[in-house]
Amino acid sequence: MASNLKRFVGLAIAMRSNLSQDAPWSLKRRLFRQWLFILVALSIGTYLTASLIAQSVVQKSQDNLLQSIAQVILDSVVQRNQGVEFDLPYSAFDVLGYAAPEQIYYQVRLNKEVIAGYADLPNFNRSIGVTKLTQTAVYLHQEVRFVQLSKPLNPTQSEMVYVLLGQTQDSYENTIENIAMLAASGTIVAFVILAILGFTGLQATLKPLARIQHNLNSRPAEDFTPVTTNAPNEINTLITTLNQTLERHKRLLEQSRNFIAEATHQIKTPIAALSIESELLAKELSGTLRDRAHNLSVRARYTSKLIHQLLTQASLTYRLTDQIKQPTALKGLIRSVLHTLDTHAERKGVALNFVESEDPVLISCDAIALREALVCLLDNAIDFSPELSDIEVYIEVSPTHVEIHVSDQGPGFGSDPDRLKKAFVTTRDDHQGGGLGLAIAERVAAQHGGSLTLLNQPQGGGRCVLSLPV
Amino acid sequence: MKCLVVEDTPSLAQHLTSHLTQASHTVDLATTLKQAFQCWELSGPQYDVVILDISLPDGEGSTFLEAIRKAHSQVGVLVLTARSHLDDKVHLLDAGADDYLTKPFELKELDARLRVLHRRGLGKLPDLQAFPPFEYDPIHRVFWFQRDQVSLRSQELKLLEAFLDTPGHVCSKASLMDRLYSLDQAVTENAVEVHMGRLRKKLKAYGVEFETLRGLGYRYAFKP
Repeated sequence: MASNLKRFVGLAIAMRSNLSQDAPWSLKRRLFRQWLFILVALSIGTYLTASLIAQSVVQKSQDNLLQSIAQVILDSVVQRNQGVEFDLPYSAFDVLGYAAPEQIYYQVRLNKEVIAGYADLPNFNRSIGVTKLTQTAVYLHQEVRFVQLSKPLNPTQSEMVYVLLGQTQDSYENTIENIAMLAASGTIVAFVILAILGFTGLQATLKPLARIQHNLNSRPAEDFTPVTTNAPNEINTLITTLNQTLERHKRLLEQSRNFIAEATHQIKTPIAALSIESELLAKELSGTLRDRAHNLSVRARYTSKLIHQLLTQASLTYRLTDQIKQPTALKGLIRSVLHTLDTHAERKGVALNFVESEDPVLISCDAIALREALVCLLDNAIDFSPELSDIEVYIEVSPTHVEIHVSDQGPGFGSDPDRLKKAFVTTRDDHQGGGLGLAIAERVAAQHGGSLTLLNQPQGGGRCVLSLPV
Repeated sequence: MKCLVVEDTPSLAQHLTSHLTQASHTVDLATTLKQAFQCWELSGPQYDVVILDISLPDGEGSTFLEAIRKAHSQVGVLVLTARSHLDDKVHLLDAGADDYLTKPFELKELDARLRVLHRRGLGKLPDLQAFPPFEYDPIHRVFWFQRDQVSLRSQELKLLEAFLDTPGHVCSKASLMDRLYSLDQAVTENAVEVHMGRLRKKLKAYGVEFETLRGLGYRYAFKP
């Protein structure tokens, strides 16, 4: 029951909305994926937006500058004495050079006639009347930003002067990219700081849950004491619910235990009285009646034995699920089992011999379950042993396993020994065996990661080998 | 042997009392925890053995067990339990029980366990009968080796007593057979040989040997 609660807390670490999902998943991993996606999208968005804004601002600034310089050039073209006088203002070009280290192209035309500068510049709208034009065009395999201004040369407007000024844009593009990168980097740094804060917060939130899980995992199966840990209010609600569930399970377990104890007592005590009464009766009778009274007593004891084995199996199911293991001195455990069964064996004249090695054998196991398994194996061996025969018990140790051998001089296990390890299968035809002893021993071995092997010995008799990993 | 039987089920209590009385034991019966404490107050030190049921109408038998162990009583306690919970047996032994018997049980098994319990609690009396390397207590039928009791099964005890009683410590198979079994029991000489074999094995560590004398039987010999 406690293990269910542990699983419950494990699930509670996950988000409540996902409790119904079957596949386990990590909240941290999911958050990390979501945040990474948002980070990438936000970075690209910031880069593109910053890039567009920067481009617009830089372009406007370049256009204004080019327009100012083109105006200065245009102002330097004047009519004097029926001719045109033009003196190129070099200092204006210097201003352009200071602003950005770019290539500069210019052209001055009188109507359609080029009077100064590059003659092969792109031909924009030269129609009369256009005073200002801004356009980007490719010149000499480079993108060049052009500004064209015009003015009439005389008041009659018979002649027009055009100034076309162009500047490449490489450094401006670099500036735009730098601004966009800076904006995106700022966003990434801010987001990463927020993500770290988020993860730290999440970690702090999950820490009490990990403590609860550790607390539940490390406690013995029957420990139902409330979980106490410092936790935020949100987690405290879960702890309260968990403690209420623990309390409920504790009460349920106590109730079912008390019921089993009481029921066992109520069933077995009258059987004990019946058994003794029939035994005493047998003493007073003779002949067939005596045998029948004796049989009654024997049947009563075997009924009780079956009840005992059924309850043992039920108790083992509970114990073995929880893997209660402790270091156990195996030789001491075997001696104690032999002591318990010696009176039973003596009445049949069967000797229980423990062939002990000198070295102590220490194994990690559920000692109570292993004791019960050994009682089953030896009880079974005594039942099937002929009178005055011997049962040998010995331990064999290998680097990986410890084997407990129980060897008897009985009829062995027949042609299909494995079948006898199933519950309620017995070779007895007198209906006096419970048929659960070997099944219990097999189960205890399996739950310890070991096995039970039943062998027919060449010299006769059976041998049970209970093998447990070291 | 003086026994205190603490058992609440009337029929079981009655049968137990009558069986123990027939076996010449003196029995006090208590059917509740309260009566058990009263009996103990009156004649606690006189009891050789306590037969204690664990489920009583006014409490747990283990309360009584813990109380008498707290009062440093060394009396042998055999617990009768109908419970099957695995931890209970361990708990009972931890609480000071010497042995337990799960209900229902055979009267012969009860007798055997009581005998072992009684013997275990005995102290060594002075002036015991010498039977080197052992000393024999004829009242309680116990062999002692120095300060320890020799652990023998009932058949082995009967055999060793036969050698002790026979002049020259020589016993024939037939006389040993008479010792072991009553007239109405069908046994063979093989049974004597098996028990002799087991006794031989047990006493070898004390330097005792059983020599086989052709046509005569066995002779007990101590070779230190």
